[in-house]
Amino acid sequence: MTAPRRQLGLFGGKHRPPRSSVNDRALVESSGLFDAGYYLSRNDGLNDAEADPLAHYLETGAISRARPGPGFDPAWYLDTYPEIRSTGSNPLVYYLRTGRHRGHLPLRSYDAALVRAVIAQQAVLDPALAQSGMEARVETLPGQSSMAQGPLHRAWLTLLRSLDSSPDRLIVGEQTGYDAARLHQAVGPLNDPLFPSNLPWLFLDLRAGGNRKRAAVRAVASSGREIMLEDVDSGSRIRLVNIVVRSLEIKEVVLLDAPLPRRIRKRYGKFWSHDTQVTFIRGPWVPRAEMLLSWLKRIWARR
Amino acid sequence: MDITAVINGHREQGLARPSLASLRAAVGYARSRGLEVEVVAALDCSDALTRDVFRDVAFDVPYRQLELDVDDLGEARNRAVAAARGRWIALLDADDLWSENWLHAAFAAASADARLAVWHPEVAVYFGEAERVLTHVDMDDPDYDLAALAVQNQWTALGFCSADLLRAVPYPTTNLSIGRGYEDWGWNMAVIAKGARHKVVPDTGHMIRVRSNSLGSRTARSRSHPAIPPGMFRTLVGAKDFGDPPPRKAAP
Repeated sequence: MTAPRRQLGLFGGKHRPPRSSVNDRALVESSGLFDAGYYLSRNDGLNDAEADPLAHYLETGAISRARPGPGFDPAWYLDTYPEIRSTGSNPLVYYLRTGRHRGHLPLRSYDAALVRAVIAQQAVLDPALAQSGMEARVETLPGQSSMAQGPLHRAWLTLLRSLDSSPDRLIVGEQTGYDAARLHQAVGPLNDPLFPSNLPWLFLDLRAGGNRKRAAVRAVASSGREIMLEDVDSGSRIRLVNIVVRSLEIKEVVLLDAPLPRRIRKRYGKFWSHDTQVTFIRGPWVPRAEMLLSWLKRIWARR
Repeated sequence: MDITAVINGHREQGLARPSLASLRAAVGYARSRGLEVEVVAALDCSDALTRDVFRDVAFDVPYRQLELDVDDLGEARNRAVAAARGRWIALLDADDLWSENWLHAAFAAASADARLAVWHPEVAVYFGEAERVLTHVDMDDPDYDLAALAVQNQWTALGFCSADLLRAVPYPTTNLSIGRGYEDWGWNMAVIAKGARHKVVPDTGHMIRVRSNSLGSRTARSRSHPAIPPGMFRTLVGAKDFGDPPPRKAAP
């Protein structure tokens, strides 16, 4: 019988930390939110001779809500997003793995003294505000910057920065699996300057990615550029399509028959139709390249 | 006249009392520091209770009340702006609250900056059915990102700017049945397209009352969207830095 590898000491002995701790350490270290000098200065029990302040933080400090650095306030974070408490996670690790992708802030974003003063001043004038007790909760009110954050924001900026020209046409499919080469085999002839209405297009393939929170959008532009927008959560994929249509002033949208494009048509189609020509193509989720070309030629050639 | 303080009323009823009281406080604070202020109230399709609340308030500055039936917040603001005599205009909705120093501090900041700008408070504190603190972003912030304006509105409607700017760029109307909403978001984009910047007045705050039946809540449920000025985001395609609005085309 083969002895367990751990017993044989292949991993460096019984003190080897579990894999998740190793990953947590790398994650925190690379985030820039752990500042060893700051941490040592605020923990009297430690000193410069302490071999590994980061290990101390991960093993002990996080449990006592010690601040790892000036850029992250675990006490405020846990009070503001109390649902994290039930996970038992290190708040910094949770923020880095999940919270920041949900638009969480790492520390209070506002001047609490100013907010307290404004509320106190207005509570004198507004009995309902005075009764709400809001003034006493100033330290833990959820904060938000008016500049968008989160997965939708990141996906939109990535797309905008990566495109090399503004598309006029948009094709939206779901889980088509088309790669850039296959797509160009299908739609490439439409790039021919001799095609009656040759306009730049963008293809958005909405992908599930196995985990709803890890969905993605793959964009292929008529130039051939392929852009992968990772970690776009499930609902954000649909909102991203709406933002692309409105903000890039898309003239024509083609939706390929699948559940998400159907939802997009139901939710936004009637609003887009004032400025945008919307065509919904019934057929297989993943049409063969020749079929897609034939459809698009029929739709676009008559423009 | 330095400032026209505009308050827009609809059917806020008793909620308008604290708003009017905060308006009075801000007007008194500015006036005591030498500013000439007037108040224009625009009551649009309001009910008797709301009109009673407005009738009860007394200002010791020039006060005019417009009775409108346009049933549109953006258009009601435009009508109030048309009636204003101040060089600067400050907007307030009749269920929200200004910090006492708002008019004075906004006037000082706006007068010291020659650029075309709309001024916003440092924080907007949401209260009522939901509580949160929104920190306004300043377009001069090095991290400012114009492209993000496509994803969400970045400034509330209660801004302070020159009357000329509000007349040159009137507020858009709302029509949720065709998906056209967020008159404040649309206007914030339109003034940028006109060459203005959105700026923050330090140490000032507004309080925004959250109500499930407010225009903002109904607009969010309708999935409406504001009109986007032509070319506003298309011109950003491929740019590495989205900090500044695209250059305006020269007038023909």
